[in-house]
Amino acid sequence: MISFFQNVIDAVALGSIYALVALGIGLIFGILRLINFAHGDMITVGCYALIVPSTDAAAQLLIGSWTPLAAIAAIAIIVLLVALSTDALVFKHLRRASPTTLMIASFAVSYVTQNALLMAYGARAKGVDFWSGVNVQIAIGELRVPLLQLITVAVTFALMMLLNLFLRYTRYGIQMRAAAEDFRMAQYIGVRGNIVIGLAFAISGMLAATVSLLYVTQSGSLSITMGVPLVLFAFVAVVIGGMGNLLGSVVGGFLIGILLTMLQAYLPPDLRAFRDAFAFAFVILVLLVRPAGLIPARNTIERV
Amino acid sequence: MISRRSLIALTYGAFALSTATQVHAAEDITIGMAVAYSGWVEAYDGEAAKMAQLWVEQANAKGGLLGKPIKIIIGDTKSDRVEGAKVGQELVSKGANLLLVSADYDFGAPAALQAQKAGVISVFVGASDPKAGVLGVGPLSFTANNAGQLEGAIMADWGFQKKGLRKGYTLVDEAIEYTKSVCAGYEWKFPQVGGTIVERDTFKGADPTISSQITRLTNSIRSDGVDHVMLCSVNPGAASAVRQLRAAGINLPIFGSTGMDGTYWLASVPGLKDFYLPSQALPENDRRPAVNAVSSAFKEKYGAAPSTQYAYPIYAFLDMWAKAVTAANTTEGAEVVAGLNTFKDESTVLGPRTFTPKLHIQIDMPMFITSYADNKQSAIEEWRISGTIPNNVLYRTKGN
Repeated sequence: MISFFQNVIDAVALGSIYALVALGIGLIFGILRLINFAHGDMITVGCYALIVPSTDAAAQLLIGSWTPLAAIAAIAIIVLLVALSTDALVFKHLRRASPTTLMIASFAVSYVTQNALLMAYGARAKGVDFWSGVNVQIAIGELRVPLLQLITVAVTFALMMLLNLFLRYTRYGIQMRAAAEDFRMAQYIGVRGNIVIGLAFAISGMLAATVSLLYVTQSGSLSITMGVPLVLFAFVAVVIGGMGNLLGSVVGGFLIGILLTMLQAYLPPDLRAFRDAFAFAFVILVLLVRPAGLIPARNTIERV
Repeated sequence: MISRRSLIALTYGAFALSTATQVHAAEDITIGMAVAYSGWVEAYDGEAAKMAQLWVEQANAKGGLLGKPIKIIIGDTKSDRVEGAKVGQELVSKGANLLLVSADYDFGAPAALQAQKAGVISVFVGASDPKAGVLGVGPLSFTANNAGQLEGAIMADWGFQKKGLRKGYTLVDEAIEYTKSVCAGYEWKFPQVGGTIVERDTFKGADPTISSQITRLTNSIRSDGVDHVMLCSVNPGAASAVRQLRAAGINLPIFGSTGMDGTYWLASVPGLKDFYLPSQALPENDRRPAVNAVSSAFKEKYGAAPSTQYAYPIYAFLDMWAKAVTAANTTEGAEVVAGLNTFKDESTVLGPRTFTPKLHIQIDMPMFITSYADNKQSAIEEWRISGTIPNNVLYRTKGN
């Protein structure tokens, strides 16, 4: 029983990470119809920004050695700027392009970002001693809960609440929701398209920065492709949640995290290697029953 | 307009020039390097390629080979398999007598196959898969490295004999073949010497977390008395796994493989101790003066010592190749291979090395058990397993 509760905590913590990534992808998709595969690379950028750019095998912390608040602010600003620049340099020029073209462009952005990092930091994976003090366990009865898992869950819920408040009660939030509903109509009634899109990239950049910090604290490792598996599963989360619906993205993220953890925990040993295949089979099943996802967005049903 | 006479003169001139080049080429001995100088495989090829360059310089300083200077021709495979085949073919057609290819079987094989087709010897600078040789490429192909299985077997044997460990737990990174091979070797040897493997668990190096694996392992430690963990993985996943294991309060001895060799990743796990892995050579403070001499020459030439042991195996292989070439008095592929195949416990700078007509990979050489403490990796002792790794373990048939 103890290990079941332990597994539930593991699952919710992993789900939180996927929910944050899915939220970043879902936000951009809602407004731009862009499936941004480069979002994972924004996470990687956030991780690498912690260290001194160098191709040496051993990494030296730079921003990572600052006080937590300064480091959080710096990483958030860096990722936000990189995310905005992907829009300014690439996606802005493709506003009238089809979603397929946009998606392919996002692959190109991902490829360029990874190779730029490779040139600056070298190909070898790196180790970093970042916020290692957080890696302790808290005993709750017989349960031993990693503090980082609690932080991850708390940060995720806090950010979701903040985003929700922003979208509901602020001027720009309402404009973003209007744009997500019907971009052209929103423009007709005075919503400035580029500001809304810029905001979407900025917020998704900050979400990516958050994931970067949580992820590096957990793994202590950096590699050029570290964001790719995150974005892959988060994209699946967005699809099963219902593309274009932010609540759906979050639900999908948690669902994927819980599913993967439970499969890893309870599949028989011989089948564990096929964990992902089981997870994707479940995804197919969900989509057969609900082709538009669990919580479909009203305006995207015909697009999926 | 060019007159007919000058055209003839030009043609003769060109012919004479090309013959001269060919004669010049025949005089040199050429080593082709079809490895990744860019892209992500560079992390695995780069230092070995530099080491090969160093070996050639040292050999030339001693008078070359068969009285001729050794020339290097290079081609960048750009971490791409298709590019690898092209570069391999190009270097072979430029007259390479020996072709060095990427450290990984999948990435080196396309170039090695080009060499095999042309009757030229190829060597993987660091592949740990027996396919990187006779079975996968052909009889003219070698790997400078050991089989992954040997690393797992050495840790199992040493752990049982010297650390008194009896109950093992394997954590295998399923993402690549090498890590599965390491654990296959451990799973063969540990029960053979009398140990018990309590449970086998898997993960993928790219997984963001191994929390459910840790939950299972914690249960196993509590209920079955697991006394050590065999972690079969490579960085960055391996370093991340060790960090998470230690963060979860699991302070048991952890055994790793050479995929984690070096200290460059230690920042991931501050204060790491009770962590052991087998290694062929230490870039600093190796016990053998000859290895230290190679390391200092490397440091002098490139400004820093190698970051892992993967720089070294090619040096030992090139020594053996040069010996076989000298004995055969030719660089002709089949004749040199016949010589290499007779090497049994041949002494090299890294210790004894063996090739047979069937196996062009090391499966029973001794390795150094190294331990990690105080941010340093240091050698404890040299260890050699008794008995030969059977074929079903080596090729991982029988569900291994």
